[in-house]
Amino acid sequence: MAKKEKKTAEVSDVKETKEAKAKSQKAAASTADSAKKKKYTVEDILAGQGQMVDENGKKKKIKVKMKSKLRSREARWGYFFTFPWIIGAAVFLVYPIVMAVFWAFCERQNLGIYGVRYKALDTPFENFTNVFNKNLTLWSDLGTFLMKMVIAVPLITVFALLMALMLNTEIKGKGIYRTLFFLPVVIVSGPTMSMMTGASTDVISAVDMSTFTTLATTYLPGFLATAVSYVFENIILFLWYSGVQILIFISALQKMDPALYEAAKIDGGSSWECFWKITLPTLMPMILLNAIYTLISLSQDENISTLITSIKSAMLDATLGVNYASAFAIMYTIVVLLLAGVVALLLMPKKDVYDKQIKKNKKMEKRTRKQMAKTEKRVAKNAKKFEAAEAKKEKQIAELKAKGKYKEEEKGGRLDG
Amino acid sequence: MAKDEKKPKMTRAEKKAKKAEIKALKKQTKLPMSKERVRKILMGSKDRMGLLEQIALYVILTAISFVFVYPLLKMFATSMMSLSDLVDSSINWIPSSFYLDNYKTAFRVMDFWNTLWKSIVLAGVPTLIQVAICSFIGYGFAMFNFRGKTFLMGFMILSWVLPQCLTMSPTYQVYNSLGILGTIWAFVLPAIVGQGLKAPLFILICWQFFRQIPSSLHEAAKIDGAGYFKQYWKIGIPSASGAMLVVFLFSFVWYWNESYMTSTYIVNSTSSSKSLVDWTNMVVKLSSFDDSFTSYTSSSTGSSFSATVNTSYRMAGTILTILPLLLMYLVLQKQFVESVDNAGITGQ
Repeated sequence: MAKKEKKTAEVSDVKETKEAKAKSQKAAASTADSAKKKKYTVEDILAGQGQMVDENGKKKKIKVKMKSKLRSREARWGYFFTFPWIIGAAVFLVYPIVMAVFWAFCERQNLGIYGVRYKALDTPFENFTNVFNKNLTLWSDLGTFLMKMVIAVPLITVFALLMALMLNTEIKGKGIYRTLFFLPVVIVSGPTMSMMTGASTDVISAVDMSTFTTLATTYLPGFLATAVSYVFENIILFLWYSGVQILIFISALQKMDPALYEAAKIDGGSSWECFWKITLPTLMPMILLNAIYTLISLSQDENISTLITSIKSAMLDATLGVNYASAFAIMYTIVVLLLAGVVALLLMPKKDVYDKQIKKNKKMEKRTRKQMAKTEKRVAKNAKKFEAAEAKKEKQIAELKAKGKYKEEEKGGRLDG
Repeated sequence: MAKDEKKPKMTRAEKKAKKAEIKALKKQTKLPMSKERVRKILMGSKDRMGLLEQIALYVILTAISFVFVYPLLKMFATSMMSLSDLVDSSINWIPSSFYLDNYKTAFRVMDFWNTLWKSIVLAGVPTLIQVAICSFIGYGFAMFNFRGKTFLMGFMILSWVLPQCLTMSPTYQVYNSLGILGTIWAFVLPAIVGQGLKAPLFILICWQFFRQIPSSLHEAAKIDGAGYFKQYWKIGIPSASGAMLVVFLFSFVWYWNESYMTSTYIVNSTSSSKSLVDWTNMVVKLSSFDDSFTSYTSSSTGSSFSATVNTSYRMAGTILTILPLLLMYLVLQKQFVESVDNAGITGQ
């Protein structure tokens, strides 16, 4: 580490000297035409030199030259501290992503002793079309995945919020409940969950869920029935995936300002109104966070998403191969990102009305100022034109005078008139 | 002074009398059980919860927590059942006898001590590295301004959102060319460069923590002549011990429960560069429980033991897998539950 440090320090020293040279050159250049682009030092501004306001009363943007030694040193240390991550991101993040995209458009050729070569496909999207053609269960898998996400993400988020609200009241034994609710987070893993579902311990036998499902299938239209029965069959699964979200909501609720509630109560607001007008808007960022967190953790879970297991098996499969798997993975990524985008769009807290108004006003001000400047310019232009015309006229008169054709009377007459 | 003289000191008798008076007053003011009062006690007022509400809350919470624990209880009950109990439909929860043979068998099938040791190393070493590295990187992002910082952080968050399967096959290739497939280095090396399991989340937690350190502390240290690294060591780390605990706990648990990556990079790898130790993991061992069970029964002398795998054995194996984590949770439950609060996700 120490060696590296030294090295980076040396490198930056060299850089610094270069920078210094460049700066001195620049400074020399800037003194030449300093009239327009003058850079002010802090002392200048303190001494009151340099106009800070232009003719229109608008604040001028002044570039302040700082002693940047400290800043550059800080930046150097910032790079030093984040250096491991940058290297890691290059090797284990950027390179794999680029390769995955590259492979998705390529064909793997085994050249025996010469190793493996990746050749660009003649039809660039062949791997992608293969995903659709070769994977017979793709559409049903994708459909169930989307259905699970559409059901699970809102359900878990809302359930976690309700739980947090219940645990935020003043009751005894909150700690025990919290501990119990968080327990699944610690022990949940792919094989454990598949063992659980395999032994059907995740279905409560005391409450016969099949009655609900039969009710749903008889009274509801097709896709809704499958959704409802899915919810009832996997209720424990949902609960088990909501531990972190509950804790996030509780911690957000506890950090809310009690003065807000007091004010609302004085104004006669009921707790129902308090929830809708204070709690929910304040929690909006946390709701977004929890929804995204749920989406991501579920989409990377083997038990929820059968697609990722099929991607993995395709990667290790001899006939399908890496290219197919890459194309598949890219499509899966796009689907997940789209879902995340939809969630973000739906839950993004809307901008404050007050802020909006201020922005609007600022825009208006800017526009009027621009218009004023324009008219001023036009007036100045017109004045110049007028002057030029006058001058021309006088010149003509002078010419005529010189020729002696200028009629004195005419001028006199005009003056008289 | 004059006022003091006017107010004579109360004698003991007088005090007693006053107390009695107050008591009488209280008795008088004590309302009879009017309809209004009963309603207030049951339904509650604006400031206090009513009795009925409280009872309802307790019922709901208890019911939900029962649902939460139900699978575990069921699992435990099933794991204690002998084959005859398992088949017997009259026995639902409580086994007829205290039967531990399932555990004994599962213990041997999973090669418990060996696997436990391996999974502790496999989860612990990357976790310790992750704690050190994530705090280091988080400090860099929190304390210094440099060009491209926002871009790097944005990219980091994006990498958290991206599914693992996107980078999986090229990463497999990278590990293969580095010769670390099938060794613990497949977990350690990414952890060293801040690309471990869910590292973006941990870096963000540390970042959030370091941002909350008052800048005056750093200024004071600077004036006293401390360099940036010393500041990190003497101010950053001690004040972010909470964040580091969070990173440690969650990283350990997630590495322990990781089966997707473990089975790809470490256990099932068909690489020529096999390490000396045959690395495996409790969770991965559990996922291949049936296979190892049959191989175990066929390898052991047939006369002493022969059985087919059933639910009880599987459940015993599952309980054994999560047992270390359960013990850890029992001991550190306070830290776990408070961790989210400490992580500073929700702001200060």
